Amino acid sequence: MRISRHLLPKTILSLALASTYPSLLFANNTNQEIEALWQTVEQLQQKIAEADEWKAPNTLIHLAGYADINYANVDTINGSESSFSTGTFAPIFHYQVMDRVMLGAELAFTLDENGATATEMEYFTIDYFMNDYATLAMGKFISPLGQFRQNIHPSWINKLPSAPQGFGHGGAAPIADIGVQVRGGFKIGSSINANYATYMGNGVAAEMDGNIVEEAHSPGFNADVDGGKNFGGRFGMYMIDSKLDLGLSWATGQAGEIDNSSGLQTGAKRDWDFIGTDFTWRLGGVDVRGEYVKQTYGARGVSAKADFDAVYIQVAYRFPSTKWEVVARTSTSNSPGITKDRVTAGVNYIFTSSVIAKLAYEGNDANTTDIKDDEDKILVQMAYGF
Amino acid sequence: MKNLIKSTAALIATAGLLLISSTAIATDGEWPPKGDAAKGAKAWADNCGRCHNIRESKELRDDQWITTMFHMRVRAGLTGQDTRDILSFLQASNNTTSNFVRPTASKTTAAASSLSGEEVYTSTCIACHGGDGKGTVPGAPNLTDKSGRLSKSDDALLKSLTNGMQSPGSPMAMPAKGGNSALTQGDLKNVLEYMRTTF
Repeated sequence: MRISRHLLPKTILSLALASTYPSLLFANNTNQEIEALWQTVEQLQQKIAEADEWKAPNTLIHLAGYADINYANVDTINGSESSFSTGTFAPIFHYQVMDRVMLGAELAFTLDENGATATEMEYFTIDYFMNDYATLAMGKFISPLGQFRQNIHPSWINKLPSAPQGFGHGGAAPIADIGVQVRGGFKIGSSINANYATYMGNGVAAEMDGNIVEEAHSPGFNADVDGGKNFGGRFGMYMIDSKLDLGLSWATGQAGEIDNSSGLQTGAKRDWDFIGTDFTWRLGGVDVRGEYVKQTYGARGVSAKADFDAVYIQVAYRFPSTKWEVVARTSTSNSPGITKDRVTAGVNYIFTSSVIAKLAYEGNDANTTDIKDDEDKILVQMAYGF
Repeated sequence: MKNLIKSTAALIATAGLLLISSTAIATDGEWPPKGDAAKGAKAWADNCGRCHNIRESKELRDDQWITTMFHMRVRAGLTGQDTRDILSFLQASNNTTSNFVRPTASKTTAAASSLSGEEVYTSTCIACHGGDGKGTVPGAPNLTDKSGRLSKSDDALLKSLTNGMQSPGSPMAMPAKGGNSALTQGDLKNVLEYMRTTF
């Protein structure tokens, strides 16, 4: 076959175009892919730039805490009385230096009946993370004895609007102390997490009505009222597979005496001992917990020994795949000559894990002359943990 | 005076012993060191419900979780390793990169899997869904319910596994890829098949 001189270039051009056409199509597709990838890269760069803003520097500042608003309808001898009230607004400040040191401080703001604001320092410690198993904490700390005071009392954690008898201020469960504490955890095999807390602090005081120890007092004294340090701690074991947590607490030392009418230290002191045990058990939506605590103030001269003890058992059930929970708790406290019982039952609506609405009935009974100790209540609380 | 000397000596001796026993934790580089997110998922499910409702990852930013976890380490008596594992899990669960879709994803690389469905389930899912699939934490569905979660289509379930999900009425969400961002689409398909055949 003969190809003319004019036809040859045209043929070559046609063949070249024909051979490059798929490439051009492919190039077109590739460009679209590259463009799409660039868009993705730009999105990623934007996200990374935003994330970098929050990348951890060597120090971190963090604000946490909790707050609650309350309504109570009280069945008094004069009939029913009801009030709205703000509970506690308790911001917690954290200042952390890498994974070595953290300062933590919780303030508690409350209003009294007249609207005046009161402020308390619930705790303030500087924590030094010594190693994976021990942290040294110095300052004012929530008492590590028992479970309710150190872990359960914040309103967004406590499943009922009030505390069990004997686990509030002035009760058998110590509130706080000032001193040093070493705490942490370690593994026992693969199925048990052990945790511990040991402390040495200024200790507690006995609030005296004449020769009678009227009240156990442990607000966290900023001076040692008895001249001797108290020490003790708690050891807990958490059986992971059975979701069972067991704890034992023990402490000893001395307690200074405070006259209840003047509020002044008398200079006298007596022996002081504490024992306690607690447990938590979870199975599906069921959460059962309980605690027993006992403080003993030794005898001094004609003033007799005084025991303060308290116990509670609480059962809660979270309905599956709902935000509803029911809770019941019974508690009893004993102090010299006085027994107080409290039964509380309620229902909670859990908006989020830390925003909870509670409605509860609280029945109180006591062998005292104070009619307030026998008042039954309907309590409503909105609790917020942040 | 004797009491004072004894107390002070005991305090100094105790502090000295503790400081001597302390080991360096912080490094010059990134802190805290990365933990194991898969172990963290289990530790999170095991420990955080001991006192309070379990908080989901999206409640806080990654940097806020650092301080929160160190606070909880002191409060709950966690070991340093458990703390880092849980922190890594929570931070990985906050990862939103799964929102980005590769325009022309290569099916072979996206689907690559080196883990069996059982391996994925026992390392990542079991913490919340339990060995029997009935759930160990509030909000986790019962996977053995024939008309329940696993009755949905593969596509719908893979989407939920990939991006995370929150059931209506459930107090907590399942994080994207169960909080284990290293899982591939192939891993997710394997674990879905494992759940379908096992429960």
